[in-house]
Parts: sequence; C-alpha cells; structure tokens
Amino acid sequence: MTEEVFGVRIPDSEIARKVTEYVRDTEGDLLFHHSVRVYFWGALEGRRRGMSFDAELLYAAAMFHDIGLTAGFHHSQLRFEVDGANAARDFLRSHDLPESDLETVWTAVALHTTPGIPEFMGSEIALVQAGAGMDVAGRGFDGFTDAEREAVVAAAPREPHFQHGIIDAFYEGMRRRPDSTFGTFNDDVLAYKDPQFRRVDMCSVILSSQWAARAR
Amino acid sequence: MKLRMALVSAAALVIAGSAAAFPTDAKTVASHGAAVDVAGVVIPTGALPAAAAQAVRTAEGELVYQHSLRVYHWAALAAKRKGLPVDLQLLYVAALFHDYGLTDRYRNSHLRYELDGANAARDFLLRHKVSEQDAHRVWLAIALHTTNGVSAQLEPLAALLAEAANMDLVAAGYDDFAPAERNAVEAAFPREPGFAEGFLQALYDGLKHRPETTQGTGLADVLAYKDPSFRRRDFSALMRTSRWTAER
Repeated sequence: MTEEVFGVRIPDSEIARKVTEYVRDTEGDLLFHHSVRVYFWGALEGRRRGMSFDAELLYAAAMFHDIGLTAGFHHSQLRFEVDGANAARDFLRSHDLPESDLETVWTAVALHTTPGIPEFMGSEIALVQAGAGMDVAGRGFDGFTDAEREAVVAAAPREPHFQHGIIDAFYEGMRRRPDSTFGTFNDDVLAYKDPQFRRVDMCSVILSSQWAARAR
Repeated sequence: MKLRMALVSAAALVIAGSAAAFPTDAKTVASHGAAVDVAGVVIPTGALPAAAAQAVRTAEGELVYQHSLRVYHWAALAAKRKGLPVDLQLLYVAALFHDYGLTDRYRNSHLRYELDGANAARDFLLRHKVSEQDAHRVWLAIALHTTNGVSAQLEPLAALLAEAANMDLVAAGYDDFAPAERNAVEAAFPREPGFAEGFLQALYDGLKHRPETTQGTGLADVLAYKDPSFRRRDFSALMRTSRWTAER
C-alpha cells in the first residue's frame, strides 16, 4: 500500500501499524481501501484548511469507522457506528492511549454519519465525517484537485462500482438491526435494498404515541 | 380517585409555591420557589437556574417551555431510578435550552437547530462562570439529543436528556415511570391537548427556513409532513449518483 499522497502520510508508528493489521484482517478489500481513502481525504482537507489534527488519531478513527459493519457485529442491535466506536476504543485502550484520545476516536467513529454537527467538534471528528462523505457521496469533491483524487485512488483503489459495493456492505451490516436506523439516513439503504422494508416516520411515532392515545 | 388526589395535590403545591414568591409569574416561580417538589424532584434554586428559566421562558412559547420542564423531570427521575450521578443544575439548563434553537431568534440560522440551542446554553453557562468543561458537556448533550442510538451511549447528562425528550415526545420508557410520577409531572407542567400536533408545528416553524439542515436526520420527516413539496434526500441515491459515478 502506498503510504504517502501529496505529502500526507499514513503515520509511521507502532499503533498505526497495529491498526492497519487489525483492520486488514477484519475487513474485505472494499471497506479497507475505503477506510484508507477516508484517512487521506480527511488529512488532505485538514491540511488545506490549516487545521491542526493528530494524524494517528485521525488514522485510527478512519480505519475503524466502518468496522461495525463486519461479521463480528452482524448480531448487534446497536448502531453500527457505535459498534465501531466501541471497537476502536477497546483496541486503542489496549495500546495505552490516554482516555481523552480514546474519547476523540470514539466520537469520530460514532458521529461519522451524523450530519451538521461533527464540523463543530474536534478536528479529527470533523475530518473523519468529511472524508467519509467525500468517499461515499462525493461531498466536497471539488475541494480536491484532480491530481489529489487520482493519487488517493491509486494508493487505495476505488473499484469501478464502489457505490454498489458499499451499499451492499451497509445493507449486510444493518439488515438484522433495522430499528437501529430509525432517524438516520441509513434507513435509505434498507429501503433501497429491501422492498419490504418500511421506513419509520418520526411524525407518525409522535402522533400515535401512548401520550396521544391517552389524550383521545 | 387516588390518582385524582395526586393530581390535585401536585397542582396545589405548584400554586402554593408560586403564590409565596412571585405572584405575577406562577410558572417561573413554580420552578424556583425552594420548596417545590414534583414527584420527589426539586428544581435547582439560585441565580443561575432562575436566569436560565427566565431566558428560555421569554423566548419560547408555553408549549415548548412546559415540554422542557417535563423533560428535566423525566431525566431527573430516570437518574434517580438508575442511580446515575448527574449534576441537576447542568441537567436543568440542558433541558431548558434543548429546544431553544426553535425560537424566533434563529429564524436566520442555517445551522442545525440543535446546535443553536447548544451554543446558546454554552454561552449562557460561560457568562455565569461555569467551567468550559461543564459548558461543553451541556453543549454536547443538546447538540446530540436527536441523534438516536448515539446519545444513549454518552455520559449520563447527555443520555438522560435524550431519553427524557423521547419520553415526553413518544412515550419511550413510559412504563418505567410510576403512575404517580407521571401524574405529578403532568399536573405541574401540563401537556396541552393537541400537544403532538402543536410540537410538530413548533418544530416546523423553527426549521422551515432551513430544510437542508434536516436532511439525513429524523427531522426531515417533519418537513415532509408539513410541506408536501419537500423531498427527503435519499442517501442511497446520493451514493449511486455522486460525482464519483458521474465521472465514470
């Protein structure tokens, strides 16, 4: 794997190597390469915007951000983001990182699909979300130069039909816990893949709650 | 009959508390007369809580304000039941401000409304010399109170706030409260008839100038409910038709 793109490097530390090894062994190529790209997009964007960030924490969070979709968590009923956040925290704790760093990584993974809030939090939290949005939905696409995009994709290949591969990975990781997608955009993936799936509408829940029933 | 008695006595307490201190503003005083106890939960007394209630009360309509006070009580009751340590003053400020972003003063904001409330609460606490760290805890609790499934994993202050908001809106955890607790809270801070529709309207009023901030969150459903021309953004379509695929 190419470890440097336009001066942005994958951290050369024991923890980073352990993270790479762990995620490499746990995820397939599609999620692994996606995660590496999320790191590069995040780090490139952080540099472009003059943000200070801890590259090792950014790397750890980017690498773990989708690990909650993998087989080990298929029977969890938590949000996959929370499973990933917990896994990252446990992994890093066993490598003696300080609690405040664990919390940063936990939050970055837990909130990577939460719109409109991470950008007001710590750099690493903001950058994982930005990087994931860029890689799955092209958010901020034009903020990167053609050369940067080509270099990142060369370093961690984005397969020709990545969008369908990642949708399949989301679906596989969440189909056994549809309730965990309520009030998030993850339910759109279930609706797309499973014609039987019905999104839960927040207004209906409010209008038909036990309170409302009691008032009638 | 017993139930009716509980309702009446809780209401009497409120009235007594307010009459004793500030006869002109029953509800605010109900919140700050030292002796008022609703289902065993006391609202913190002192200058800071009083100023918080004052600030929120003057900006919010009665429906959202009473909702916020109930949220404080559900949260404090849940904390007690679960044996969770929580700073009641911070919890009170968090509950008061949690929907503050829906008020008129944010009609030009294009942030998520949760952030407007979070920022207002943080600024309020910092002005009142509360530590940066505690102000940030309240900020986070309000900012994430609509982020399902994550808020429950956070520290008690944030987890309780989100859980209590859900209790008050969708009766999540309803049966975990004793009927007497529910009745006392409802008597002290009444849920008006048509509360559900009224609350959805308050959400819509606070969000309709910034529909884009609801995309990808549960609040997009409120826009869709109120505005037939609103289109929820479909995340799967976003992935399938992104700049990445257009490039190919």
